[in-house]
Amino acid sequence: RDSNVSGDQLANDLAQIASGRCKKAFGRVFAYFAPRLKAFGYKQFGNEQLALELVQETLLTVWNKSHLYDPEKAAVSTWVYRVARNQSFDMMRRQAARPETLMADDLWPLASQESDDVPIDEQILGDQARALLALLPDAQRQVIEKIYVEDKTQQETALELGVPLGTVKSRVRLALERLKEHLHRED
Amino acid sequence: MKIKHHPAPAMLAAHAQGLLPTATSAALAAHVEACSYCQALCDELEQDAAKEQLGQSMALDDSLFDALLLRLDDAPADAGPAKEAPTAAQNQLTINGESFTLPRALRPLAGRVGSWRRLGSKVWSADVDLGEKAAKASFLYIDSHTRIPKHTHGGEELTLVLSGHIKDESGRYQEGDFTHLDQQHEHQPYTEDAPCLCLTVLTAPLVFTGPLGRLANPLLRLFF
Ligand SMILES: [Zn+2]
Ligand SMILES: [Zn+2]
Repeated sequence: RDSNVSGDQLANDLAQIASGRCKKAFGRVFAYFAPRLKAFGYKQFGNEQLALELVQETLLTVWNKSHLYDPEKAAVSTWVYRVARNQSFDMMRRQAARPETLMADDLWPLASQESDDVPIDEQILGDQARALLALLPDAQRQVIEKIYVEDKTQQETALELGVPLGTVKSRVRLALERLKEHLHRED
Repeated sequence: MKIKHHPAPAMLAAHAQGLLPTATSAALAAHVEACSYCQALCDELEQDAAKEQLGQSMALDDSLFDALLLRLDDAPADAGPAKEAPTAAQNQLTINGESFTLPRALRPLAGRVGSWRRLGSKVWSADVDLGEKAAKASFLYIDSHTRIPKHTHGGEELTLVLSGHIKDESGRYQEGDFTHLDQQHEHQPYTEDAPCLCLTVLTAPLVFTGPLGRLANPLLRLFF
Protein backbone atom coordinates (compact mmCIF):
# COMPACT_ATOMS: atom_id res chain seq x y z
CA ARG A 1 0.00 0.00 0.00
CA ASP A 2 2.79 2.40 0.81
CA SER A 3 4.29 2.22 -2.66
CA ASN A 4 1.54 4.67 -3.59
CA VAL A 5 2.74 7.25 -1.14
CA SER A 6 4.62 10.00 -2.92
CA GLY A 7 7.40 12.14 -1.54
CA ASP A 8 5.26 15.22 -2.12
CA GLN A 9 2.47 13.79 0.00
CA LEU A 10 4.89 13.06 2.84
CA ALA A 11 6.38 16.54 2.59
CA ASN A 12 2.89 17.92 2.75
CA ASP A 13 2.19 15.81 5.83
CA LEU A 14 5.30 17.13 7.56
CA ALA A 15 4.21 20.67 6.77
CA GLN A 16 0.79 19.98 8.30
CA ILE A 17 2.42 18.56 11.42
CA ALA A 18 4.64 21.60 11.71
CA SER A 19 1.92 24.18 11.18
CA GLY A 20 -1.19 22.51 12.60
CA ARG A 21 -0.01 19.64 14.83
CA CYS A 22 -2.13 17.45 12.54
CA LYS A 23 -2.47 13.91 13.93
CA LYS A 24 -4.00 12.59 10.73
CA ALA A 25 -0.92 13.65 8.83
CA PHE A 26 1.21 12.08 11.55
CA GLY A 27 -0.76 8.86 11.11
CA ARG A 28 0.20 8.77 7.42
CA VAL A 29 3.85 9.46 8.22
CA PHE A 30 3.72 6.70 10.83
CA ALA A 31 2.12 4.22 8.42
CA TYR A 32 4.84 4.82 5.86
CA PHE A 33 7.91 5.02 8.07
CA ALA A 34 7.29 2.91 11.19
CA PRO A 35 7.75 -0.49 9.47
CA ARG A 36 10.84 0.79 7.69
CA LEU A 37 12.29 2.23 10.86
CA LYS A 38 11.66 -1.04 12.64
CA ALA A 39 13.63 -2.93 9.98
CA PHE A 40 16.44 -0.35 10.29
CA GLY A 41 16.39 -0.56 14.09
CA TYR A 42 16.49 -4.31 14.00
CA LYS A 43 19.53 -4.17 11.76
CA GLN A 44 21.24 -1.70 14.11
CA PHE A 45 20.47 -3.42 17.41
CA GLY A 46 19.55 -7.02 16.54
CA ASN A 47 16.80 -6.78 19.12
CA GLU A 48 13.06 -6.16 18.84
CA GLN A 49 12.71 -4.03 21.93
CA LEU A 50 15.44 -1.58 20.95
CA ALA A 51 14.17 -1.56 17.37
CA LEU A 52 10.75 -0.44 18.65
CA GLU A 53 12.33 2.16 20.91
CA LEU A 54 14.11 3.53 17.85
CA VAL A 55 10.80 3.66 15.93
CA GLN A 56 9.06 5.55 18.71
CA GLU A 57 11.82 8.01 19.52
CA THR A 58 12.46 8.73 15.86
CA LEU A 59 8.81 9.43 15.09
CA LEU A 60 8.41 11.55 18.23
CA THR A 61 11.36 13.63 17.07
CA VAL A 62 9.76 13.92 13.65
CA TRP A 63 6.59 15.19 15.38
CA ASN A 64 8.48 17.68 17.53
CA LYS A 65 10.96 18.91 14.96
CA SER A 66 9.03 18.79 11.70
CA HIS A 67 9.48 22.57 11.40
CA LEU A 68 13.18 21.96 10.78
CA TYR A 69 12.46 20.00 7.61
CA ASP A 70 13.17 21.96 4.44
CA PRO A 71 11.68 20.38 1.31
CA GLU A 72 14.11 22.36 -0.86
CA LYS A 73 17.09 20.67 0.77
CA ALA A 74 16.21 17.01 1.12
CA ALA A 75 13.62 14.32 0.46
CA VAL A 76 11.43 13.46 3.46
CA SER A 77 12.91 9.96 3.61
CA THR A 78 16.45 11.38 3.78
CA TRP A 79 15.47 13.68 6.61
CA VAL A 80 13.68 10.95 8.54
CA TYR A 81 16.72 8.73 8.02
CA ARG A 82 18.89 11.47 9.56
CA VAL A 83 16.61 11.63 12.58
CA ALA A 84 16.78 7.82 12.93
CA ARG A 85 20.56 7.69 12.42
CA ASN A 86 21.03 10.33 15.13
CA GLN A 87 18.68 8.50 17.46
CA SER A 88 20.50 5.23 16.86
CA PHE A 89 23.91 6.86 17.42
CA ASP A 90 22.77 8.29 20.77
CA MET A 91 21.13 5.04 21.84
CA MET A 92 24.34 3.14 21.13
CA ARG A 93 26.42 5.61 23.10
CA ARG A 94 23.97 5.47 25.98
CA GLN A 95 24.08 1.68 25.95
CA ALA A 96 27.85 1.78 26.18
CA ALA A 97 27.43 4.21 29.11
CA ARG A 98 29.50 6.85 27.36
CA PRO A 99 29.38 10.45 28.52
CA GLU A 100 26.66 12.34 26.69
CA THR A 101 28.95 15.20 25.85
CA LEU A 102 28.46 15.05 22.17
CA MET A 103 25.00 14.16 20.99
CA ALA A 104 24.32 13.15 17.42
CA ASP A 105 22.39 16.37 16.77
CA ASP A 106 25.63 18.26 17.40
CA LEU A 107 27.40 16.18 14.79
CA TRP A 108 24.61 16.05 12.24
CA PRO A 109 22.30 19.07 12.65
CA LEU A 110 18.75 18.22 11.60
CA ALA A 111 18.08 21.62 10.10
CA SER A 112 19.97 22.33 6.94
CA GLN A 113 22.40 25.10 7.76
CA GLU A 114 20.71 25.99 11.02
CA SER A 115 24.10 27.18 12.17
CA ASP A 116 25.05 30.77 12.63
CA ASP A 117 28.30 30.13 10.87
CA VAL A 118 27.54 28.98 7.37
CA PRO A 119 30.87 29.02 5.57
CA ILE A 120 30.70 32.56 4.43
CA ASP A 121 33.51 32.30 1.91
CA GLU A 122 31.36 29.94 -0.13
CA GLN A 123 28.38 32.25 0.00
CA ILE A 124 30.11 35.33 -1.17
CA LEU A 125 32.00 33.83 -4.09
CA GLY A 126 30.86 34.96 -7.48
CA ASP A 127 29.56 38.15 -8.94
CA GLN A 128 27.81 39.18 -5.78
CA ALA A 129 31.15 39.34 -4.03
CA ARG A 130 32.42 42.64 -5.40
CA ALA A 131 29.17 44.41 -4.73
CA LEU A 132 29.12 43.10 -1.19
CA LEU A 133 32.74 43.98 -0.52
CA ALA A 134 32.01 47.54 -1.57
CA LEU A 135 29.70 47.78 1.43
CA LEU A 136 32.56 47.30 3.87
CA PRO A 137 34.64 50.05 5.43
CA ASP A 138 38.05 50.23 3.73
CA ALA A 139 40.02 48.62 6.53
CA GLN A 140 37.72 45.60 6.65
CA ARG A 141 37.53 45.25 2.88
CA GLN A 142 41.30 45.25 2.57
CA VAL A 143 41.59 42.38 5.01
CA ILE A 144 38.80 40.37 3.41
CA GLU A 145 40.30 40.80 -0.05
CA LYS A 146 43.72 39.63 1.05
CA ILE A 147 42.35 36.57 2.79
CA TYR A 148 39.43 35.52 0.61
CA VAL A 149 40.51 36.76 -2.79
CA GLU A 150 44.30 36.58 -2.66
CA ASP A 151 44.24 33.48 -0.44
CA LYS A 152 46.67 34.89 2.12
CA THR A 153 46.82 33.71 5.72
CA GLN A 154 45.74 36.04 8.51
CA GLN A 155 49.37 36.23 9.61
CA GLU A 156 50.56 37.21 6.14
CA THR A 157 47.82 39.79 5.94
CA ALA A 158 48.85 41.26 9.28
CA LEU A 159 52.46 41.53 8.14
CA GLU A 160 51.55 43.13 4.83
CA LEU A 161 49.28 45.69 6.42
CA GLY A 162 51.62 46.27 9.33
CA VAL A 163 48.91 45.65 11.95
CA PRO A 164 48.79 43.12 14.80
CA LEU A 165 47.29 39.68 14.10
CA GLY A 166 44.52 40.38 16.60
CA THR A 167 43.44 43.42 14.59
CA VAL A 168 43.22 41.33 11.42
CA LYS A 169 41.16 38.76 13.26
CA SER A 170 38.71 41.28 14.63
CA ARG A 171 38.39 43.00 11.24
CA VAL A 172 37.62 39.66 9.63
CA ARG A 173 35.01 38.92 12.26
CA LEU A 174 33.35 42.33 11.95
CA ALA A 175 33.40 42.16 8.17
CA LEU A 176 31.88 38.69 8.07
CA GLU A 177 29.17 39.71 10.50
CA ARG A 178 28.35 42.67 8.34
CA LEU A 179 28.29 40.60 5.15
CA LYS A 180 26.15 37.98 6.80
CA GLU A 181 23.63 40.63 7.81
CA HIS A 182 23.38 41.79 4.23
CA LEU A 183 22.99 38.27 2.91
CA HIS A 184 20.20 37.55 5.35
CA ARG A 185 18.46 40.78 4.54
CA GLU A 186 18.46 39.91 0.85
CA ASP A 187 16.74 36.54 1.16
CA MET B 1 41.25 30.28 2.80
CA LYS B 2 39.90 27.55 0.59
CA ILE B 3 39.87 24.06 1.99
CA LYS B 4 42.03 21.79 -0.12
CA HIS B 5 42.33 18.55 1.82
CA HIS B 6 39.21 16.45 2.30
CA PRO B 7 38.35 13.11 3.90
CA ALA B 8 38.05 10.15 1.53
CA PRO B 9 34.49 9.53 0.26
CA ALA B 10 34.45 6.07 1.88
CA MET B 11 35.12 7.62 5.26
CA LEU B 12 32.38 10.20 4.70
CA ALA B 13 30.01 7.40 3.72
CA ALA B 14 30.68 5.62 7.02
CA HIS B 15 30.23 8.96 8.81
CA ALA B 16 26.91 9.57 7.05
CA GLN B 17 25.71 6.24 8.44
CA GLY B 18 26.92 6.95 11.96
CA LEU B 19 29.26 3.98 11.91
CA LEU B 20 32.44 5.67 13.15
CA PRO B 21 33.73 6.31 16.67
CA THR B 22 32.52 9.59 18.15
CA ALA B 23 35.99 11.18 18.04
CA THR B 24 36.28 10.43 14.33
CA SER B 25 32.77 11.65 13.64
CA ALA B 26 33.47 14.85 15.55
CA ALA B 27 36.52 15.62 13.40
CA LEU B 28 34.55 14.86 10.25
CA ALA B 29 31.53 16.89 11.34
CA ALA B 30 33.75 19.89 12.05
CA HIS B 31 35.28 19.61 8.58
CA VAL B 32 31.93 19.12 6.83
CA GLU B 33 30.51 22.15 8.62
CA ALA B 34 33.14 24.35 6.98
CA CYS B 35 33.39 22.57 3.62
CA SER B 36 30.58 23.03 1.14
CA TYR B 37 32.09 20.37 -1.11
CA CYS B 38 31.88 17.66 1.56
CA GLN B 39 28.51 18.99 2.71
CA ALA B 40 27.07 18.33 -0.73
CA LEU B 41 28.71 14.91 -0.81
CA CYS B 42 27.28 14.05 2.61
CA ASP B 43 23.81 15.07 1.46
CA GLU B 44 24.11 12.58 -1.39
CA LEU B 45 25.53 9.88 0.84
CA GLU B 46 22.69 10.34 3.32
CA GLN B 47 20.22 10.09 0.47
CA ASP B 48 21.83 6.78 -0.60
CA ALA B 49 21.89 5.55 2.99
CA ALA B 50 18.21 6.44 3.40
CA LYS B 51 17.28 4.39 0.32
CA GLU B 52 19.34 1.47 1.51
CA GLN B 53 18.50 1.54 5.22
CA LEU B 54 14.82 2.41 4.93
CA GLY B 55 14.25 0.13 1.95
CA GLN B 56 12.92 -2.82 3.94
CA SER B 57 9.93 -3.11 6.22
CA MET B 58 9.06 -5.19 9.28
CA ALA B 59 5.48 -5.61 10.44
CA LEU B 60 4.57 -4.03 13.73
CA ASP B 61 1.69 -4.08 16.14
CA ASP B 62 -0.98 -1.37 15.78
CA SER B 63 -0.80 -0.72 19.50
CA LEU B 64 2.50 1.06 18.91
CA PHE B 65 0.73 3.91 17.13
CA ASP B 66 -1.73 4.32 19.99
CA ALA B 67 1.10 4.37 22.50
CA LEU B 68 2.84 7.02 20.45
CA LEU B 69 -0.30 9.16 20.09
CA LEU B 70 -0.49 9.36 23.88
CA ARG B 71 3.00 10.82 23.96
CA LEU B 72 2.50 13.46 21.27
CA ASP B 73 1.08 16.05 23.60
CA ASP B 74 3.85 15.70 26.15
CA ALA B 75 6.26 18.56 26.13
CA PRO B 76 9.05 17.78 23.70
CA ALA B 77 12.11 16.42 25.42
CA ASP B 78 14.26 19.28 24.25
CA ALA B 79 11.94 22.05 25.45
CA GLY B 80 13.09 21.72 29.04
CA PRO B 81 15.30 24.28 30.70
CA ALA B 82 18.24 21.85 30.81
CA LYS B 83 19.96 22.77 27.59
CA GLU B 84 21.02 26.37 27.78
CA ALA B 85 22.86 27.79 24.84
CA PRO B 86 26.53 27.96 25.74
CA THR B 87 27.98 31.40 26.18
CA ALA B 88 30.59 32.64 23.75
CA ALA B 89 33.32 31.98 26.31
CA GLN B 90 32.21 28.37 26.67
CA ASN B 91 32.71 27.83 22.95
CA GLN B 92 36.33 28.83 23.21
CA LEU B 93 39.56 27.09 23.79
CA THR B 94 42.34 29.11 25.37
CA ILE B 95 45.96 28.09 25.16
CA ASN B 96 49.20 29.99 25.37
CA GLY B 97 47.30 33.23 25.87
CA GLU B 98 45.32 32.85 22.66
CA SER B 99 41.60 32.09 22.44
CA PHE B 100 40.05 30.12 19.62
CA THR B 101 36.36 29.80 18.80
CA LEU B 102 35.59 26.16 18.15
CA PRO B 103 33.63 24.94 15.14
CA ARG B 104 30.02 24.36 16.09
CA ALA B 105 30.33 20.56 16.04
CA LEU B 106 33.16 20.70 18.59
CA ARG B 107 31.63 23.20 20.99
CA PRO B 108 30.10 20.57 23.26
CA LEU B 109 33.65 19.28 23.75
CA ALA B 110 34.94 22.52 25.23
CA GLY B 111 33.76 21.42 28.67
CA ARG B 112 35.46 18.03 28.45
CA VAL B 113 38.92 19.14 27.48
CA GLY B 114 41.47 17.84 29.95
CA SER B 115 44.38 19.92 31.15
CA TRP B 116 46.97 21.09 28.66
CA ARG B 117 50.18 19.10 28.86
CA ARG B 118 53.44 20.29 27.48
CA LEU B 119 55.16 17.98 25.02
CA GLY B 120 58.55 19.49 24.49
CA SER B 121 59.04 23.19 24.81
CA LYS B 122 56.63 24.42 22.14
CA VAL B 123 53.93 21.78 21.77
CA TRP B 124 50.87 21.41 24.02
CA SER B 125 48.20 18.78 23.95
CA ALA B 126 44.88 18.31 25.72
CA ASP B 127 42.80 15.16 25.51
CA VAL B 128 39.06 15.12 25.12
CA ASP B 129 37.32 12.41 27.09
CA LEU B 130 34.63 10.79 24.97
CA GLY B 131 34.69 7.52 26.87
CA GLU B 132 35.83 5.51 23.87
CA LYS B 133 38.84 3.32 23.36
CA ALA B 134 38.58 2.93 19.59
CA ALA B 135 39.79 6.43 18.84
CA LYS B 136 41.20 9.19 20.93
CA ALA B 137 40.65 12.89 20.31
CA SER B 138 43.08 15.58 21.43
CA PHE B 139 43.64 19.21 20.73
CA LEU B 140 47.20 19.92 19.70
CA TYR B 141 48.72 23.37 19.82
CA ILE B 142 52.06 23.86 18.11
CA ASP B 143 53.84 27.16 18.53
CA SER B 144 55.36 28.93 15.53
CA HIS B 145 58.64 27.66 14.03
CA THR B 146 58.31 24.25 15.66
CA ARG B 147 58.99 20.77 14.34
CA ILE B 148 57.15 17.69 15.58
CA PRO B 149 59.65 14.80 15.68
CA LYS B 150 59.60 12.60 12.61
CA HIS B 151 57.13 9.77 13.10
CA THR B 152 55.00 7.10 11.55
CA HIS B 153 51.68 5.93 12.90
CA GLY B 154 50.71 2.88 14.91
CA GLY B 155 47.21 3.24 13.54
CA GLU B 156 45.25 6.02 11.94
CA GLU B 157 45.98 9.69 12.46
CA LEU B 158 43.27 12.16 11.51
CA THR B 159 44.10 15.83 11.71
CA LEU B 160 41.76 18.76 11.34
CA VAL B 161 43.45 22.15 11.28
CA LEU B 162 41.45 24.61 13.37
CA SER B 163 43.68 27.66 13.17
CA GLY B 164 46.91 28.65 11.48
CA HIS B 165 48.63 26.22 9.16
CA ILE B 166 51.06 23.33 9.32
CA LYS B 167 53.26 21.74 6.68
CA ASP B 168 54.91 18.41 6.14
CA GLU B 169 56.79 16.73 3.31
CA SER B 170 53.60 16.32 1.29
CA GLY B 171 51.80 19.58 1.67
CA ARG B 172 50.49 22.62 3.45
CA TYR B 173 47.40 22.29 5.57
CA GLN B 174 45.36 25.22 6.73
CA GLU B 175 42.15 25.98 8.56
CA GLY B 176 39.52 23.38 7.71
CA ASP B 177 41.91 20.98 6.00
CA PHE B 178 41.51 17.33 6.95
CA THR B 179 44.25 14.72 6.63
CA HIS B 180 44.17 10.99 7.17
CA LEU B 181 47.47 9.13 7.56
CA ASP B 182 48.32 5.62 8.72
CA GLN B 183 51.14 3.08 9.14
CA GLN B 184 52.30 3.65 5.57
CA HIS B 185 53.08 7.31 6.11
CA GLU B 186 56.13 8.81 7.76
CA HIS B 187 56.29 12.55 8.16
CA GLN B 188 57.63 15.47 10.09
CA PRO B 189 55.05 18.21 10.49
CA TYR B 190 56.24 21.75 11.21
CA THR B 191 54.82 25.19 11.69
CA GLU B 192 56.13 28.40 10.14
CA ASP B 193 55.55 31.95 11.28
CA ALA B 194 52.32 31.32 13.20
CA PRO B 195 51.14 28.80 15.77
CA CYS B 196 48.76 26.05 14.69
CA LEU B 197 45.82 24.54 16.56
CA CYS B 198 44.57 21.13 15.42
CA LEU B 199 42.18 18.46 16.49
CA THR B 200 43.84 15.06 16.14
CA VAL B 201 42.23 11.66 16.36
CA LEU B 202 44.49 8.66 16.88
CA THR B 203 43.56 4.98 16.92
CA ALA B 204 47.04 4.00 18.17
CA PRO B 205 50.15 5.83 19.42
CA LEU B 206 52.59 7.51 17.06
CA VAL B 207 55.93 5.79 16.45
CA PHE B 208 58.82 8.24 16.37
CA THR B 209 61.43 7.35 13.79
CA GLY B 210 64.03 10.15 13.74
CA PRO B 211 67.40 9.76 15.49
CA LEU B 212 66.32 11.83 18.47
CA GLY B 213 62.66 11.00 18.18
CA ARG B 214 63.34 7.33 18.77
CA LEU B 215 64.39 8.27 22.25
CA ALA B 216 60.91 9.63 22.69
CA ASN B 217 59.14 6.34 22.01
CA PRO B 218 59.09 5.38 25.67
CA LEU B 219 57.21 8.63 26.27
CA LEU B 220 54.59 7.84 23.68
CA ARG B 221 51.86 7.50 26.17
CA LEU B 222 52.09 11.25 26.47
CA PHE B 223 50.82 11.47 22.94
CA PHE B 224 48.23 8.78 23.22
ZN1 LIG C 1 35.79 18.72 2.45
ZN1 LIG D 1 51.52 12.03 11.94
